[in-house]
Amino acid sequence: MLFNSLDFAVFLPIVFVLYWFVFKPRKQQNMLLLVASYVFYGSWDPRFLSLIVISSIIDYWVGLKLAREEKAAIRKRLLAISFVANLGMLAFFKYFNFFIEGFTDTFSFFGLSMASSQLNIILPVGISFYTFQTLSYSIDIYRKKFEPTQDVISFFAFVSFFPQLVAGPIERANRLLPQFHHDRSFNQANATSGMRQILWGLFKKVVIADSCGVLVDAIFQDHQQLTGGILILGAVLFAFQIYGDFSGYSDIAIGIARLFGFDLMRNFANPYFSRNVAEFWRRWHISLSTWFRDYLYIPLGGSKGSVSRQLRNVFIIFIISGFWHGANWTFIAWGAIHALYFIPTMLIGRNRKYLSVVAESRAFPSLYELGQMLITFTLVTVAWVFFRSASINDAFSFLNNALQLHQLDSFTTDLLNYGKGYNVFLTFALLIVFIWFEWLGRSQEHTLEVLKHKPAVLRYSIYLVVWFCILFTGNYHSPQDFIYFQF
Amino acid sequence: MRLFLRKLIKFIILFLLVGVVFGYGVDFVFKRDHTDKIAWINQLENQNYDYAFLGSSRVANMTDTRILDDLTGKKGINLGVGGADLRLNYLNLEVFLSQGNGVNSIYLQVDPFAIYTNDQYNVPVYDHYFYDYQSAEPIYQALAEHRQPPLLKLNRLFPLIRYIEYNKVYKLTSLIRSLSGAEGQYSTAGFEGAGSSSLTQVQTNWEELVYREVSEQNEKYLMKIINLCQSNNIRLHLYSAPILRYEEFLSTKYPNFISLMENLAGKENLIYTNLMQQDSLNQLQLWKDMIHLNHEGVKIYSQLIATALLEHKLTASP
Repeated sequence: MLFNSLDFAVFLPIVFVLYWFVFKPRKQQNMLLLVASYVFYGSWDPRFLSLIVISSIIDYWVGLKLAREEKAAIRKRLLAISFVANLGMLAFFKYFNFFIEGFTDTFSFFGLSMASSQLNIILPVGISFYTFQTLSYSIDIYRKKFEPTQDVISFFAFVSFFPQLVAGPIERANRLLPQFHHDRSFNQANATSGMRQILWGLFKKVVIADSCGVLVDAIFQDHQQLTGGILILGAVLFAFQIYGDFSGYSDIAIGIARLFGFDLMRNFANPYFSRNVAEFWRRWHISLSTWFRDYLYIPLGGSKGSVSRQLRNVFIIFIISGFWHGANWTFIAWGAIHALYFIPTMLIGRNRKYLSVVAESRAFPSLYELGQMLITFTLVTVAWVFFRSASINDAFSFLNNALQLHQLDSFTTDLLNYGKGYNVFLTFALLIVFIWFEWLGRSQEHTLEVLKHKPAVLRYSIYLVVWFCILFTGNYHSPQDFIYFQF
Repeated sequence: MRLFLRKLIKFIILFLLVGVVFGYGVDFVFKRDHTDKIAWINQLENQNYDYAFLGSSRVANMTDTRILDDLTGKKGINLGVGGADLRLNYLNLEVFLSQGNGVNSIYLQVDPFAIYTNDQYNVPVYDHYFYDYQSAEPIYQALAEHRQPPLLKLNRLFPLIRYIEYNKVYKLTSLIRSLSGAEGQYSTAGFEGAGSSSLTQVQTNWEELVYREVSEQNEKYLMKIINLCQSNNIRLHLYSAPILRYEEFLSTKYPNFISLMENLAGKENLIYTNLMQQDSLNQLQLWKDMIHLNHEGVKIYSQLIATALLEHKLTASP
C-alpha cells in the first residue's frame, strides 16, 4: 500500500476516524495502531508479517531479560541473540546471494571451482529499517540507557508503526516508545502542520521524484550511447529524484504520525544546501547516520584516538552505510567515495564547522556560500552515479562519457529526444520552483511551514496549486514505488 | 479537532469547486484538439461519405483515402486508429453514426492478430474518449465492461477525474496544442500518414504476434459492428490488409483464420476479401515493418484498393 495510492487514501481516514472517535482510551488506540500497521504491512505480502512478529517477539523478550540480568556474560549473550536474530534475518533476505556470489568468485580466483546455487529470495519491504529500530531498543537496554517495556502491545506497535515502518525514519526506542505509553490528545496546530508536511511530501515524491525519474531511467539505460551534457543532466536529475523520493516519504511519514499525535524525528534537513560533505551527512537520512554514529562509530572509538584509528572508523561507517543500502558493490563504492570526501574535512577540522542553516536570516547566500553548495552538490552527485548504476563498470563508463563535453552540440538534440518536448521544460520549471520553496523553508521544521503565518488566500491558493500539480503529474494506473523500499 | 475538521472540510469544498470549474474548462479545451484521431472522429458531425475504412493502424497508416477519392471520384474517410481493437472500432462507429454522419459502405479491416486473443489490444486505454457518450446505452454497456457504473457516472459529471486519471495522455503539451487550435493532419480524409523508413531485412520471429484462441470479446464486437451496420443500412465488407510475405511467415501460424472469416462472412451474407498476400508489395523497401507499409508502399496499396473498389472486387458477391 503506497502512500500515493488510492488504497492508502481510503485506509488513512478510516484509521484516523477510528483512532480519535471510536477507540479513545490509549490502550485501545495502541491496539488499533498495531492492527492497522499489520494490515498496512501485510498488504505488500502477508508472509512479511511473520518476520516482523518474530523480530518483535525476540527483542521484547531480550529486553525484559536484559533488565533482570546482571551477569555481564549472560547480558552479552542476550544482546547477541538480538543481534543474530535481527542481523541474521537481514543478512539472509538481503545479502545471501551477494555472499554466495562473492564466495564463488573468490574460489574461482584461486582456481577452485565451487558449485553454487542462488536462492530466489524476496526482500521483505522495510526489513532494513525495522531491524535497526528493534536493535536500538536492545542495545539501549543493554547499555542501561533505557528501561524495557512490559506493555507488549505498545512495543509491537512501536516496531510496526505504519507511517515509518517501510522507509523510516528509523526511530529510537527512547524517543518513540514513551509516546505509546502516554495519552495522546489531538493538537489542531500540530495536525494542520502535519497535513502541510504530507502535502509537500507528496509533491516531492509524485511531482519532483517521479517526473525526474522518467528521464533518469531513459538516460541511465542508454548511457553507453550518450555523451556530455545529457549524462550530467541525468546525474543531476537523479540527485533530485532520490531526494524527492526519500525525503518526500519521510515528510509524509512524519506528517501522518502527527495526525495521530506522534512526533517522529526529522530525517532530512535540506541536505543540498550543505556547504561541505560533513554538513551533508548531518542533513541526509539523519536517522540512519545518527544510528551508525551512536551504535557503531562511537563504540569503535569515534573521533578519539590516533589519526589512523579515526580514518579506519570513518571508512568502516561509510562502507557499512553503503552496504546497508543494498547487496551490490556499487553501494559500497558509494560509501567509500563519501568516506574519501569526508576525511579531508575531518583532518582539517571542518567537519563540525557548519552547524546552522546556510544564510540564516538572509534572503540569499553569499557567492562564497553558493560556491560551497554547488561544489558539495557536485561531489554528492558524482557519488550518486555509483548509487544508481547497475555496476561499478557502468558507473565509470557513465562518468567517463559525461566528461566528453566537446559534444555539446548534441546536447539539445538528446535533450529533446529524451525529454519529449515540453515535458523537459515543465520538469525544469517545477525543479526551479521546488528549489526556491525549499530555500525559503530551509529554517523551518519542514518547507511548507513557511506558509504558516501567511494570509489565508495565499496559503489556500498555494495548497490548491500544489494539489493540482500532484494530481496532474501522478501515475494513477500504476503508482511508482518509493526508491528506498528496495532497501 | 473541530477547528481542524472545519479547515479540512473548507479546503475540500474549495478544491471541489475549483476542480469542477477547472475540469469543465479543461474538457472544453481538449475537445477542440483536432490532432488526436479519436477526438477528431468524435467531433465529426452531419457529414456524408460514400465509404469509410475502419480498423487499427493497418488502416490509419496504410489507407490513403485522398488517393482513393481522387481515383474513384467518391468521398471517403479513414476511421482507423492505431492500436484499436474491434471494441474500439465499434465505439468509434457508434459515436460517428450517432453524430448524424452517414456512410454507404464500410470496409472493416480484420487481422488474425486482432480476432485472436491479444492482451495488447484488449486493454481499454481509449475508453476515456467515450465517457461523454455513455447516455447512449450501447456505449454505456461497452464501457461498463471495464469500469464500475458509479465511476462511469462520476467521470461524466466531473470531467476532471478523467483528465487526472489519464494525465499521461492529457498533458500540458496537449493542452497548449488544443488551445492553439492546431489542425491535425487528418483534414477531411482521416489518413494519418505513413513513415518513410524501410525494412532492411525480413523479421523472422513472429512469436509476439501469435495467439491461439479466438477472443470472445473480439468476436462479440465484430458481431456488434455487423449488426450496427445492418440496422443503419450500411454495406459492410470485411477484409485483411497486406502483410509482408504473409504466406511464407504468418499463414502457418493462423491456418484457420481465412476459413474462419469466410465462414463468418457467409453466415452474415457479407464479403470477406483476403488481401494479405500481395505480390506487388513483396519488396522490403515498401515496408516499415512486417505489417505496416511505408509511404511508397501505401501509394501502391491505396491505388490497388481504389482499383478493386472501381472494379467492384471488394464488393463482388460471394
